[in-house]
Amino acid sequence: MNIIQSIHSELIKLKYAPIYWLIGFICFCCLAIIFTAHIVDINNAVSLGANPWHKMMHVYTGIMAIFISSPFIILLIGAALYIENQSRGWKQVYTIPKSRRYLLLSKLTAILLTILSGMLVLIPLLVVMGYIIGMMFPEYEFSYYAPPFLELLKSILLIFISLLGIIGIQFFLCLKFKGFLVPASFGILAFICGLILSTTNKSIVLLFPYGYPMIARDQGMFKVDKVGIEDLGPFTNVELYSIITFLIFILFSLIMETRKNIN
Amino acid sequence: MNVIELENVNFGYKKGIDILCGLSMNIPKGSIYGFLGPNGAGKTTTLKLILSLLHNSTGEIKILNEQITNSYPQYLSKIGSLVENSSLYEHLSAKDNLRLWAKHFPHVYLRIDELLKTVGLNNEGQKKTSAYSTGMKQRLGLAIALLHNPEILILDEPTNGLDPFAITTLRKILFQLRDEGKTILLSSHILSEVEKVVSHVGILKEGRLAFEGPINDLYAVIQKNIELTLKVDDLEKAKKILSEQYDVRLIENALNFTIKNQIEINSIIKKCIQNDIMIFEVFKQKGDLEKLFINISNSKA
Repeated sequence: MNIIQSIHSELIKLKYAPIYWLIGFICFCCLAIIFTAHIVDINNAVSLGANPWHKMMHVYTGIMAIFISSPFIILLIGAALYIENQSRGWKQVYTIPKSRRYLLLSKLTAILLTILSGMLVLIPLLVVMGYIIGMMFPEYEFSYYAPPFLELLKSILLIFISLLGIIGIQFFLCLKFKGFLVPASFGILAFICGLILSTTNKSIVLLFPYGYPMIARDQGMFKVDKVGIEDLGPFTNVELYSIITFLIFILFSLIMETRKNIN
Repeated sequence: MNVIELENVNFGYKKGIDILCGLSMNIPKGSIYGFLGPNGAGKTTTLKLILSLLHNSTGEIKILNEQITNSYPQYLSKIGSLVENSSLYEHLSAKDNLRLWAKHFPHVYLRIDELLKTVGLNNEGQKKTSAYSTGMKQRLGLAIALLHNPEILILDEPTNGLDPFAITTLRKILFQLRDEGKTILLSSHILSEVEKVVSHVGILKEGRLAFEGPINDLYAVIQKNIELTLKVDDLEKAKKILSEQYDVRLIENALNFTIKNQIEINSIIKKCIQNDIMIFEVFKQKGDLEKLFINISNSKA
């Protein structure tokens, strides 16, 4: 058995679970907000000679980073692990002749792939929507410019990296608390706190991983110039903190699960 | 050869309160081992220790002559298990449930249909398991346990929620597996059911085994106190004669009394014939496992 088979097994578990509905709902929300923004704000949104895809991408990444991605992840990880808790599946999972670390990392990989694909699936949908808006309102000139696929992909990957800290914490909490309610409530509360902290433009938000996606890159929604964001090559320091938080909490999760008695 | 060996195993969920106190048990290869004990005796705990689901026990647990380690439980590839209730993903069909477990073992994918047929769910394979009855879920749990064709099968209360037809089917499956050379460790509190399938028995009491051995040895224990029923033409006369030696009770046109050894049956018959008492029927009440189980459970471990 290889890791691909294990991940595939985890993906089968997600089949028909609320997760795909959740991804669909999030996609719909994103597209609806962006579409509405273009329809309502047509006079301000159209700028002659400027690539309209950039503006659309900017709106998309802003909405995604600030409002959508964190609650999406909190619910998705909660739902993915709730499947196991609800079915009392751990006692069966841990009788598979593989170490618990291996099995947990397979599950985590499946969750990461689901999150990433949930975010990436929006790219073609966004492009289709751009062309539809272009057909409805030719003055946007969507058909005149090529969609910036690479930039969009890079933005999404950077948002994903800034979310890793939240993913690590939520993964740990969902393993620690068997129900759905405690980790989800904690996550949503922390997301609201993160949102509030990231509007303060103070460096304290650097201590709070739930604020990382909102401040990792300047989304133009609120000021972040005094937060202390530094460029460290391909990443900012915030994205690096996110990766470190992720690694720490995943390590905690692995240690906790390896020692756990399955009652 | 023993496939599962426990030597002086101690385990407690809380410090200072041990559920298992120096438990030693040996499960021979190819046996169907009935693991009995009252509720809370530690049967499921023992099974979970064998499956590495519980840690921090002391003593030795050996599977196929190898001491188990929790870090890389390769030995689990030799074990199929159904502990407590079956763990099913109820939003998935039976086939999907089997399919996802099949991903973890090489070359078992083709067994899915065959196993569904074996447990009598071949027509229900596409149905979501949330629509299954308790018995159907239990049968699917058994199919999952058998999926990778394990050498050892650990079943914790497998007849829970099964109707008589399903219990008979399960019994047939167990016999079939035994004939294939597999070893089955079966815990149950339905003693009459265990009696019909097991070749060996272990009775757990206060964290250790109060009895362990072949079922015939257990019956030999029962044979030491044989309940005899005697049907004769003259009950009063026979009662008078036999009362000199036994505590005879008259129950429904027959005499009931307990003898210490089956050799005594011969002398009882002789005595009746010598006194012109016509014997219609003599039979031993089969001492059932339940009675003995209660006796052993009530006795000191």
